[in-house]
Parts: sequence; structure tokens; C-alpha cells
Amino acid sequence: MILEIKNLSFAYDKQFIFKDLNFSLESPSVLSILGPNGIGKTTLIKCLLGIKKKTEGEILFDGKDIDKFEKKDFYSFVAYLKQGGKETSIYTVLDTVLLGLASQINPLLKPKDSDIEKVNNMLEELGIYHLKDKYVSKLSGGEAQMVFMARALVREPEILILDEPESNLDYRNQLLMLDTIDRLKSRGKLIIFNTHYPEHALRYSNKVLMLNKNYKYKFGNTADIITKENIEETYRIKAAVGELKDGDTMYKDIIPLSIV
Amino acid sequence: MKTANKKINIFVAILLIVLPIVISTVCLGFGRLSIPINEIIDYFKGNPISNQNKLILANVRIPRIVSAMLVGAALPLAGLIFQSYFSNPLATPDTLGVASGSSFGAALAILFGFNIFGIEISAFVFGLLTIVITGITGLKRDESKQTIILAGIIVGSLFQSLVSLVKFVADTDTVLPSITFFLMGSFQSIGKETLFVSVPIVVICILIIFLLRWRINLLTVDEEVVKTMGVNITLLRMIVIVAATIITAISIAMAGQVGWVGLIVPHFCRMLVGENHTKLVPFTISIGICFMVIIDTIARSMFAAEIPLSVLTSLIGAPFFIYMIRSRTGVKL
Repeated sequence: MILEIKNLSFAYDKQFIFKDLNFSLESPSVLSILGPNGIGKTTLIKCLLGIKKKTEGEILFDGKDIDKFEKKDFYSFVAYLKQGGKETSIYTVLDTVLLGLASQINPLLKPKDSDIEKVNNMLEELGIYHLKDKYVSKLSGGEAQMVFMARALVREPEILILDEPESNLDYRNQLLMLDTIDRLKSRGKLIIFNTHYPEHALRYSNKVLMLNKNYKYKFGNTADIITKENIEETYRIKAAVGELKDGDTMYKDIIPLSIV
Repeated sequence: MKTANKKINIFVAILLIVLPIVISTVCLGFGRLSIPINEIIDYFKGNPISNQNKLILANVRIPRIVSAMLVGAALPLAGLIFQSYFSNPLATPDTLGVASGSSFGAALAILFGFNIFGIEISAFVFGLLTIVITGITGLKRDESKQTIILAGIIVGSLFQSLVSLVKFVADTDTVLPSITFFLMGSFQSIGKETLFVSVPIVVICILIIFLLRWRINLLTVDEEVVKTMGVNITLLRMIVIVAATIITAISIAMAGQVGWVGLIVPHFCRMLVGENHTKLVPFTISIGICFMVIIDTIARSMFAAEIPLSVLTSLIGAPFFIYMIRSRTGVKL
């Protein structure tokens, strides 16, 4: 799948949030979107998801603009995961994930055994099958986030869009989330996520979009975009970029030092 | 394991159907003049029974029990829908002002001398108007859903004062008593003609909600997320809210304001079967019918004079609700 963004702008009451964005992606790929608070990262992904209507420009999925899709068709290949901790469910894990299949289930019928089977497989894959009959409201933040991930993935979308998926999670749960993203990429999917952690972008994405003040932005391969200079400029800080060695593997790390 | 579960499910389903029928049949026997159960069964079988009992059953008891069943299914189901729709455990026809709006519609129709069909339509129109006003007032964009109850109370009291206005201008000898009597909540005056109009409409609305019961789970899903699920959530919302408002309005047009049932029955069912509407909807209908029929039977047969329904429902409802709020498994959503 190819996603092309052409001259994309979004404005609230004539106040532009972002302007004239241009970039394109081809699956398999992971794009991380970086930028300071309030720069419009969330607004951008909501535009890509069709939750917010773009003001100008084009969002093309395999050459077809987002506005030209039937909702049902569009959301059969695009799925969304909300920021961790921003969503709750009053149902059990199984019932919550089943709702992800709602568009495929006859409105007047209950889910079939085959639907439940699909959900069970997805829970198995994400390692939360044992939580199946628990209430989501009783789970930890990390477990709940995995449940919502399962609900997003159960339709087997080609594109997954996530809003700060690793926010509010501890190290282990962050890794669980990011590893899932990695696995999806290796299966040929296109993943787009917002993050406040440049080091996650470094490790897990091959493309980066860095949003900056005054409608400036940078887009490109991760190594070219996440540099000391760009981090310092975007976040208006002084930062150190170093390397950590674990066994034979080198890891790049970024440490924020001081405010400029 | 799986087949065992299926067997239990079938057993529960049968129980949910049989229990209201048994209770209603038994309750037919109670009243100022008690009729033995075997005579009631004979009556339904078409066997001859005493003329007096036959008349009582056909003209008094059966219309009354059927109305109680109808309202008992309708108000709790409407309460359940409103609670899920607004993600608020306190949302009911009463707290959202729908009951007041429908009462005003009904009172207005009585003032103008409309027949029962007119009263029901008027009750529905004003009920729907109320829910729209309450919805617009209470659900400002990106705001918590708690304000909805506040809005409901405000809009409700507005329509209550309009009801008072109608009463004020009504003829004190003829119209006022019938409005007052009607608003107190009673199944006493319901005739067969009323039922012929109301039963089909309410049954259709309940059937629609029943068929959509799995899908109704989507109502509580996060606003933005549900948009990305590829379902027509707006249509679903419209269908269920209109159906819930219709059954509320007809209940009120038939029996006046019967408080509390819309609140406590759904919560009681939640404590029994959890949050999944696939189970909640049938349980709410069935238990609502049982509850209402029993309450009405008590109301008409405990004392020489009939006790208004709302008095009984709040006597039971308020303590029960306090218990639910205090209990660990109680009110959530």
C-alpha cells in the first residue's frame, strides 16, 4: 500500500495547525511523528484517520483520496489505537475485542463462532488470551492497551495508526507495544505513530516526520532526521547523542541535557 | 464446557420467557375478588368459567396486566438504552427530562381533548424534543458526559412547570382531574382501545432494540474510536434513541410517570449478568415485566384504596439504589 500526502493543511477557524505537508510512504514501513507538545501531531493523525476533515490538500491511499472512500471500505484497511490510558471499556476483554469486527457482523445478529475464533487467535497472538473473560476496567494500563491493540488488529488492517502508543506504560509494556509494531512491519504492514520518545523512533521506525514551529517540518529516513541538530532545534534544548553497546549491537541514545 | 454453556444459556432463555408469563398469570387472580388459578387457566384454554370472573378477567384484569407488562418492559429498557447512550449510570427517562417532556405532551393532548392515539403522538413528540434539548445542552463537544444529568434536570423542570401551566388553564371540573390522575401513574384507567394502539408500537420498538442488542455495545465505545470501526454509528444511535423515546412516551401516555423502574431494573440486571447488552437487553425486559406486574398487583390489592405506583416504586427503588451505590459491584459504566 502506498500513502501519499500532498500539500496537506489543517486549520481550526482559519488558524492553521499545519500547512503544506508533503511526504509519501510505502508498506512495509514504520513512520514515527515527532515534535513538541501542541504542534499538531495528534491532529495530523486524526486527519489521516478521517476523524478530522482535512482543510486542504490530498491524502491518497494507493492513489485514491481519503474523501472518496466509503467509510466501511476505508476502515477495513485502516485501524486506530488511541493513546494509552485515554480509553476504557466496560466490557470483558473478549466482548471488547469482538467490537472490532462490528463492521463485518450483520447488524441484527450476534457474532458467529468464527468471529469469536478470530478474536481468540488475536488474543493468543498478543499474549493476552488468559485475560479473555476479565473486565477491561480491572486490568493494568499495559494490559488494557494490548486489548485495544487487539481490537484494532482483529480486522487485519493494512495500515495501523497509533497515537502515542507507549505513553503511560512502563518499560516492559513499552517494549511489548513497540515489538508488536515491529512484528506488524515485518508482515508487510504500514504503521504510523506519534511519539515523545526520539529513541523509540530511532529503534523502531525507518521513516520520521518531525514537525516544527512555523509550519516547518522534516521528513526522511530515520538516521537522517534524528540528529543532534534537529533534536535541539525542534525541542529547543541541548541534547547529547551517544552510543550504547550491548554485546555486538550498537544502540543510539539521546539524552536531553538542558533548556535553551 | 462449550456445550454445557450452551445448555445453560438455553435454560436461562426459557426461564426469561416463562417467568413473566407465570407471574402475570398468577397475578391475574389477585384483586378485590380473587380468582383461582385453575379458572384463569381454564379461561385461556377456552373452557367455560363463571360469567362474572370471565368479565373481570376480560375487561379489567387482562388489560391491566398487559399494560403493566408493557410498561414494565418499556421503561427499564429505555433506561438501559439512555444509560448506555450517554455513558451515564444515572441516565433514565426521569433524569433526562424525557418523562417530564412526554408528560407535558400528554397533558397538552388531554387539554385539547385528543384521543389516546393523539395523546401518544403528542407524548412522543415532546419526549423526543426533550431528549434533543437535553442532549444539545448536556453534551458540549469534548466535554465530560456528567453534565447530561444536570441538563436533564433543568430541561425536566422546565417541562414540569409547563405541565403546571397546562393544569392551571385546564377546566377544574373535567380536564384537571383527568390530567392529575393520569400523571400520578396508574394502570387503572387503561382500556382495551388504548392497548390496541400501544401494544403493537411498543412491541415493534422493543423488538428492534432486541435485535440490535449486540450492536448496542458500540454505544459505549470511545467517540473517536467508534468512528474508525467502519460502522454507521450515527444511524444506530438514532434508531435506538428514537425507539427508546417512543416506548417511554407510550408508557407515560398509558400509565403516567412511573418513577425509578427505568433506573433500578437495568442496574439490577447489570449486577446479575454484567455489561454485555446481548444479555442485558433480554434480562432487563424480562425482569422489568416481572417487577412491574408484581408492583402493580401490590398497588391494587394490598389496601382497599389503590396506592399510586410511583409511591411503591420509590419506596423500593430508593433503598435498593442506595444499596447498589454502596456495594462494590454496584453502579459503574
